Amino acid sequence: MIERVVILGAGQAGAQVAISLRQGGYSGELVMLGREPHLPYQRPPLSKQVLKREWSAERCHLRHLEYYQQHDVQLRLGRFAVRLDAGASRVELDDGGYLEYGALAICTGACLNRLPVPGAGHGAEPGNGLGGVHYLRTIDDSQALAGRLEAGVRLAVIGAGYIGMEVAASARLRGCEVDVIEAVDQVMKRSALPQVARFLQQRHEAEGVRVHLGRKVVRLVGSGEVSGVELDDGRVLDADCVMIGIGVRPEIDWLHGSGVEMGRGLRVDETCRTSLRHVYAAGDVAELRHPLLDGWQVLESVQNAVSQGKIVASAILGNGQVYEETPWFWSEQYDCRLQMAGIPRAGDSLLARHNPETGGLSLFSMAGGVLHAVQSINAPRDYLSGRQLISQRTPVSDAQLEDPQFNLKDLL
Amino acid sequence: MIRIEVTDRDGRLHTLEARPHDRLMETLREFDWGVAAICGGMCSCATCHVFIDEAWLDTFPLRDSDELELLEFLDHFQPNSRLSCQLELREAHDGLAVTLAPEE
Repeated sequence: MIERVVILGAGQAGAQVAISLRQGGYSGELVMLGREPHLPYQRPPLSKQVLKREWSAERCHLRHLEYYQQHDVQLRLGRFAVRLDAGASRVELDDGGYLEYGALAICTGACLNRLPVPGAGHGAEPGNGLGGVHYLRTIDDSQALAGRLEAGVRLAVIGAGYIGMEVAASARLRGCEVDVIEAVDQVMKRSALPQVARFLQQRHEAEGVRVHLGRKVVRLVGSGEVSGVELDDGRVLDADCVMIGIGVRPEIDWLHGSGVEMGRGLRVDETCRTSLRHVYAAGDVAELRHPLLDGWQVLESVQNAVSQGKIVASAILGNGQVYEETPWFWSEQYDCRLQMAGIPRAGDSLLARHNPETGGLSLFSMAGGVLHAVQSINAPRDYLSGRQLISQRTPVSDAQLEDPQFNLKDLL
Repeated sequence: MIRIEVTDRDGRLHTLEARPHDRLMETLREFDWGVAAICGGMCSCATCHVFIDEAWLDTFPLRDSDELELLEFLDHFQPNSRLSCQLELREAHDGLAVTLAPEE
C-alpha cells in the first residue's frame, strides 16, 4: 500500500485525483499542492458567469472546504513544486522544503502564452505592460477583468479562441463596446468546423461585436493605461481595456532535467503513467495518445481533466483503467450552446443538419461511414447521439445525418 | 440550513444538510456516493440526474428545453427526472426527498 500520494496542482484534474482516490478506498496520506491561494475551482465560469457577475468566486469551488477536511485531504495552498527528483522519490517546493511521495500526480495545468508586442508586458515577468491589459487564466484574473467591464467600456479582445469569444459575449452582455482581433482567417480555428465558426461569428456581429480576421496586433498604445490597439494594417482601434487570449501551453518548464519524457506536454500512456515509476499526470499538462485520435495530443478541457484524473487514481489504486472516452467540450456565447464531441480529421467529409423549428445546427465530420466528430449549436440531441455514434463506431449514412427528422438515437 | 432526504443508488437513505440558494447538485456532489456533475452546473453533461419525490415536483420551476433534451436522451428518464444542477434550493425545500438516478 502506498503511504503518501502527492498531487501537484489543485485544479480540475488535481481535485479529481483526490476525490477518486478517496472514493476508491485509498486510506493513506493525501497531500495536494495548489499554486493559487484558493480552494480547487472550475474554470469554465471564469469567462462567462463570473464576468457577467452571475456567479461569485465561491460558487466556482468544486467542493466546500469541509469536503477536504472530512476526506483528510491536506491542502497546501500557495505552494508549488520547483524540481522533481525521481531517484529520491521527492519533489522540492518553492519554500525550500520538500515532500517524499509513494505516488506523484502531476496536474500542474497550463500557463498563458504572452503576446510579444510593446505595451503588452512580456518576458519572464509579466505586469510591466500598460494598465488595463488583462489575461484570463485564474479566478483572480477573472474578477479583475469583471471589475473593468462596465457599460460603455471599449474592450479589445486579442485572439478569437474560445476564451476570447466567450469574453467578447460576456462583455457585450454587460454593455461594453467590443472588438475582436484574430490573426488567422477564422474564429476558433483550432477546433471549430468552419460552418460552426461562421455561425458564431455572425451571432457576435449581430450583437454588435466587430470581428477583425487576418489581422495581427503590432503594438498596444497608451501611456500608463492602454488607449488603443495598433493593427498590422496601420489602423488603431480605440480601447479602454484589452483582453489577450492567445492560448496556453503545458506547465512543464520546471520538469526539465528530471528525466521524464516530454513533448509539447508531459507524455503519458493510456493509463496516465509518465516514463518515470510512480509518476502520473492528468489534465492540461499531459500529452497523450488516444485510440480515437492521431498522434500525440494535449486536450485542454474539463472532460479530459476529469477523465484523466479518474484514471490516475485508478492506476495508483492498482486497477489500471484505460483512457478511451470520446473527448467532449462545450462553450456558451449569448443564447448559443456549442457542444462538441470527437476531433475532426484531415480529409473528412462534412455534413450539416439544420433544424428549422429550433434554429439548431449540427456539423458532422466523417469518413467511410464512420463519424469522427459532431459539433452542435443548440441541438443537444444531435450532440448526444453523435457522441455515442463516435465512441461505438456505429455506421451511419450521409442521408441519416442530414435529415433533421431522422432520430439518430435509433441507430444506437 | 435545510434538511433533505436522499436515497442513493444502493437504496440507502441519507439525511443531509444543505444551504438554501445552493443548487441541489452542489450538495449532492460532496459525497462519495453522490453525483459526478462533471460540467459543474452548465446543463451540459447530464451526470447529476435525480428523481424528485412526486410531492415536491411542483416546488421547482419547470424544465427548460435544454434540460429536457438531455434528460430525454437518458435510458433512465422518468416523468420526475431533473438535472440537479438546475434546481436552486430554498428554505421551503426543508424536507425535500430525492433519489439518485442510476449512472449511465
